[in-house]
Parts: sequence; C-alpha cells; structure tokens
Amino acid sequence: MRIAIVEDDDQLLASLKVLLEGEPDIQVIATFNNGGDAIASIPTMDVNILLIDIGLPDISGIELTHQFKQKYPSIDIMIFSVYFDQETVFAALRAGATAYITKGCTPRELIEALHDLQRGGSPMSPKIARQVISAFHNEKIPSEQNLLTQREKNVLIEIEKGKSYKEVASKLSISPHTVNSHIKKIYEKLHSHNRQEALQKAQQKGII
Amino acid sequence: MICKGKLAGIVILLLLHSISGRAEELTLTDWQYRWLAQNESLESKDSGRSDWQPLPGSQMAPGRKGDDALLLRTRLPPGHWRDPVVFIPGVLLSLEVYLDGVLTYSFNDPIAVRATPWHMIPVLPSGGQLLLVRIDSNYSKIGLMGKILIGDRAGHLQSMIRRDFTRLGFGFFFLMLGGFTLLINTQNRDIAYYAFAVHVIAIAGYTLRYTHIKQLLPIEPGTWFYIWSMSLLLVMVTLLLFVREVFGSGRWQFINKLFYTNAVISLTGFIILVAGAIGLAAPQWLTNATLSLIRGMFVISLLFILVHVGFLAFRGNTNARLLMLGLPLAIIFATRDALWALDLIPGENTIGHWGALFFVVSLATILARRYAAINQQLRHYSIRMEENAREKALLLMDLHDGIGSIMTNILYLAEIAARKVAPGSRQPLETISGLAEEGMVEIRSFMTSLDEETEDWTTLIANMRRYASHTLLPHGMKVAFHSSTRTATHPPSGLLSLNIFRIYKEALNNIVKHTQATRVSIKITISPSHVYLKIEDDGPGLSDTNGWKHRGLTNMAARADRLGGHLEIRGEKGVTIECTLPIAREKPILQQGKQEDIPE
Repeated sequence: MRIAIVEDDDQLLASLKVLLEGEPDIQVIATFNNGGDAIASIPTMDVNILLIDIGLPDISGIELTHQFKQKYPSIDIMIFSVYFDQETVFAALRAGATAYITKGCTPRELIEALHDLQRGGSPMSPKIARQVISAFHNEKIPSEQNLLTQREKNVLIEIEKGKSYKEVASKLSISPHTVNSHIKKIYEKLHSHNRQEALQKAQQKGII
Repeated sequence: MICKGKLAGIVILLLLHSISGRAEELTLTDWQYRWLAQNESLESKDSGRSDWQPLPGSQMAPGRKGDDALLLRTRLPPGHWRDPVVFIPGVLLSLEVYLDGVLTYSFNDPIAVRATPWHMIPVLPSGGQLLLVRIDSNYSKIGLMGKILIGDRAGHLQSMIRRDFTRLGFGFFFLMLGGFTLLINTQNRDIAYYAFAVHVIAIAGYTLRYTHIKQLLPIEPGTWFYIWSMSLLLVMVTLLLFVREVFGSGRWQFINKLFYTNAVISLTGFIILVAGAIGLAAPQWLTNATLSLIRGMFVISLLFILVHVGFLAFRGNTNARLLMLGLPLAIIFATRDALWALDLIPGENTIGHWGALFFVVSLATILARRYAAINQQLRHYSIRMEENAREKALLLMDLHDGIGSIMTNILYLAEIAARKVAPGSRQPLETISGLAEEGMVEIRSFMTSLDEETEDWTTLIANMRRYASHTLLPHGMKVAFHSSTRTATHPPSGLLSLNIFRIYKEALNNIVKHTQATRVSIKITISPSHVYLKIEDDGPGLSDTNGWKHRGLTNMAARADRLGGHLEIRGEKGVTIECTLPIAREKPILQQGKQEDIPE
C-alpha cells in the first residue's frame, strides 16, 4: 500500500509517518504540510491512497480531494480530520473521499481503516457513519439544489444582481465579514475560484 | 326604522348635492331671554321674576340665579323658502318649541340627549312667526350648543354635511390609524405605540362625537355619550404616557407623577361611568367634581408637557420640536373654535379637527422616527452579535483543530514509544494513550453540543452506549444498556446533551474507580418533557471510604440542578444513580425504544 499524507501539523505528520511505516505492508511515499505541494508533486508519484486533513493552510482538504478525484479517479482518498459536522462530512464525500476517519481514533483503528480501504471498503469512524445513516433516516441529504444553505443562496442571488459585498450585507442585515465568509463557503461547496465560476456552477446545478 | 343601505344612499346623495351647490341659511338674531324656575309653567311668563332681556352675543344667557329653565324668543324673518325649518343644535337637557304660542315640538329623551342631537322644526314658508324656545336643565351650564338657524330642510342637511364631512373623515382616519397601530404593535410591544394608538382613538372619538353628521349614522344616541366619556378619560392619560416613553419623565419625575394622578382620576371617572350605565347613578356632586378635576388636570398636564417638551426642543431634540409644532397648533385651533362658539370671533365653521390632524401627524412622525431608530439599533446589535458568534465559532474551530491534532499526536507517539519498550514497561504509555483518548471524547462531546443542527437523541444514546463499552468492558464488567425514546420528542439542546453526557461519564468513571462491580445496568428514557437516566451497579455500595459520596454526588447533582433537574444517589446494595432532567421544547423527532446487552 503506497500512501501520501497531507497534514498541516508537522509534528502529527511526523508521528503518522513513523507509525504507518512501522506497519509491514504500508509504505509512506510522501508527506506534505500544504495542498499546493501535494498538487505539484503527487502526479509524478505512484500513490494508491491519499490521507488528507481538511484544515490546510492554503487550500481546503475538500477542494484538494475534488481536484485529485477529478484528475486521478483511481486514487483512494481518506479524510483524516477533527471535523465531524454534517456539512463538512457531506462536502468531503461529495468531493470524492472514499473514507472518513476522525482524528483521535486509536493507531490500530487508523491502520485497520487503511487496510479496509485498500481492500475496496469505505471505512468511516462510527460517528461519521452514524451521521450519514441518520441523514438518510431524516432525509437531510443535501441534494444538488440544496447544497447551499438558504442564507448562502440569498447571498449568491444578491451577488448575481451585481451587488458589492457591502450592499449585500446591508440588504441581508449582516456584516460584510459574514458575507465574505458565506462567499468562501459557497466557493468551497461549488469548487469554484471566483464569482463568475460560482455563479455559473450554481446556475448549472439549478441552485439559483 | 330606516335600513342602513337606504341611509347610506341618502347620505351619499346629500353629499353630492352639497358639493354641487350652496344652500342659503340664516342665523336667527335679536334674541330675548328670561329665566324660569324648573317647574314654573310658561303661562306664568307675565308674572315671572324677570322681564325679557335682549340676549348678548352668545346663547349662554347671564343671570341664572339658581333657575333651571331658560326661555329664548325671537321673531322669524319673512321667508322665501319651499320647506323651511328652524335648525336647533344640541341643547342641554330638554327642549320645548312654541310657534306663536303653540307647543310645536318637544324633546325630553334622557338617553338620546347624551348625544346632544340637533333638531329641525318645520315653520311656515311665509315667516314672521314668534319662535319661543324653552330649555330645561339642572346642569351647571344650560343653553344651546351652537347657533339657531333658519332655511330649507335639504339646505340644512347639505350644509351640515359640507361643514362636517372633513371632520367625519378625519375622525374615521384617526380611528383606523389607532386601530392599525394597535394591530401592528402586537409584535414589538412598545408602550409608546400603545399610548399613541389609544390616544389617537380617543381623539377619533372626540372628533366624531362633535360632528352633526353622526346623527345620520345608524348608531344609538347613547353610545356617543360613552364614546365621548371614554375619550375624555383616556386622552390626557395616553398623551402623558406617550410623552413619558418618548421624552422621559423630566425633572422630579413630574410627567410620571402627572400620569399617575390623571390615571387615578380617570379610573374614578370610569367607575362612575360604569355605575351609571348599570343604574347605580353616582351623586351629582361627585360626577361634577370628577369632571372638573379631569378638566383641571387636563390644563395643568398640558402646561407641564409644553414646558418639558419645549425645553427639550430648545435643546435641539428633533422629536420634541415635532411635538412642539403639532401640539400648539392643536391648542390654537381648539381655542379658536371655543371663541367662535361663544361668538367672540367671526367664522363659518369649526377648524379644531385640522389642529387634531396636525397633532396626530406630528405624533405619528415621532413614532416612525422612534421605530426607525430602534430598528437601526437592533440591526447594529444583530450585526455585532453575528460577528461575535462568527468569531467565537472560528476560535472554537481553531481550538478544536489544534487540540485535536495534539491529542492525536500524543496518542500516536505513545503507541510508537510502546512498540519500542518491553511489554512489562508499557503501563505509563498506555495511561498516556487512555488520557489522550479521553481528552478527544471530551472535545468531541463539547463540539457536538455546539452543533445543535446535528444533535439528536439517537446520536447521543449511541455515544453513551459506545462510551459504556469502552469504559466498562475492559474492566470485566457486564453492561445491560436499555434506551427508549417516545414518539414526538424534541431533540436535545446542546447544553442538555453535554450535561447528560458529562453526568453519565462521571457516573461510569466512578464505577470503574470506586467499585468492584461485575454488572452495570444503564437505562435511559426520553419522554416528551423529561430525560430519565438510571445507572445501577452490583458493587458494595456507598461508603465514606470509597470516595463516591464526596466527588460523585456533588458534581453530578450540581449539573442536574443547574438544568432544573434532580439527581439522587442511593448505595445500600450497589450504587443506584437516578437523574431526571427537563427537555426544552424545540423540533420533534420520531424514535422507538430498544434494549440490548453490550457484547463483551
């Protein structure tokens, strides 16, 4: 099993490398502490599994997953994160992650999850699996149309009208900072890098 | 009885006619008057105590001297009308009209008189008759409420509508404005809004009561008396309340004191009014005294308001300036009407309702500005709160991310180190791993409690079951876990969820640390209003030496107490913990109960 790890915490990254290399059938090919380096280097490597943290300094782990999955669909991606909220979990799975393990699992659980993934499984921490199942039970699966929250949709609709952040903030009675963070979320969810692209994708998906 | 539709038709026709032309009316002049005792008959007029005197300008005759009947007479001018009538405005209280010494018209209705209705008495088209009017009353004021006119019947109606239509329109406008404000205010509950609404309704009552046109409306005459009385009782109280809410109470709280004084007097007036309505008439002196007090306090309060608000206006307060524009105008217009009614100044009609309109518009503008200011303030607060919440969420996320990584790192370093030492020396490293794991559970339960969107009983119960298996099974304890959730139970709030988990965790950790139990039974029942948690073990029970009593009870009971719940520990045979916590009502979910043993 040939693994690359993307994790911004250098100490944890080092520990993970040592821990996983201690396993006979796991080979840690490369480690990266940011997304940019991973995008630049991984294509030249022969990697089966990518272990990705979500909170990276330059690019979100979800966006990184999306990019790799688009270009290299054969690579299995396992998210390794502290986040377990429904929005993040679904965004990661939608972006193409095949496994989701929360930080804080025991070393044994992590190693078993990697083996499971290698064997074609889709391992998830119990809490994540329950999130997914309960979302199905409660029919809270975010569809393409309701990928964005109502507030995010409202922000996007105002942006479409050509309004500035300040004008949007005033119209929706929120602060410009909040508008900014909504925009960031929208870009992340729609995997877009600018206003035009976000609007285009939202229209294609029938969100607005 | 004329049906309402027909009546409305007549009013509209007369209205249209009145707009199209002007009818000729004459004010009767050259009046003479004399006083009579109440029961004295008209026949005694030649042996009366006083002779006929020419009436000065107004119809309020001087020299009453305890008499209760006023006689007024004049000769009608030669006429050229088709259907002539003498138009007599309201009188207090009863009325008799004689034409050339013959009783032609009589009005003595104690209910109808409360609306001070007008009267139309047909006269000969040729004119020249001697008109004699007798007014009987035991009121302090006796006489006519306006001027006696002669003209065609239709002409009178036309000019009445022309004179009063604007006033009637304003009255209904005030009524609607007040009513709508009351409806709108159910949302924001600002006292100033209530005060404004009731004040404007009171002004509406006053304005409508003083129209002659009201007699054409299908409303019982007595009702107008109650409308007028209520308006009188409420108008100053509500104005003072409005001023207090918008401009403060001033030095020595005098606006507040005036408000309470007026409120007490108005309440007395109200009691007298209600007593009268149910047939328990209050003594006349009490009614008169209350009425005088209300009027006296009206003037005093008005002066204080003018001083208080005038001072604020002088200091640059825009709202105060607005009120100082409306209120003096209303006072000036009302004074002009009073002088006109007393024939001291010339004029054709009353204009007090225009003053009321300016005043109401100034009050409404003040209220709108206040609403805009409050809204602006709320917007600022909401933006600030949102900003704070966003910052806190970001800080928490960062904290979570940072501590989560550190804990995971500790866990993995302990594992890496354990691989390198002999099996017998791994205990401290395993303890480090255990602590790191516990730290992660703690962080996760905290973060879950913050994310109320995904919070539900199923997840909480699953976490509890998992925690029981992680904590108790490694110590050889058997666990029976039973949970049941009733249908339509609301999801737990973050705080409730966190506290249930903490209480549960503490109880389980204490079992591990302080008992030698072999079997633990856990039961959690979620009902629509409460969570019930029961944990039992088969250990030796509570004792002063095993530490249960001091640590366990205090921490857990304090948590339950903070949430308005109750926790009890018993320990005669094993330890039993029972905890009941109330559930705040939010969104309902549907769940069913289940029971299972946690496999070892």
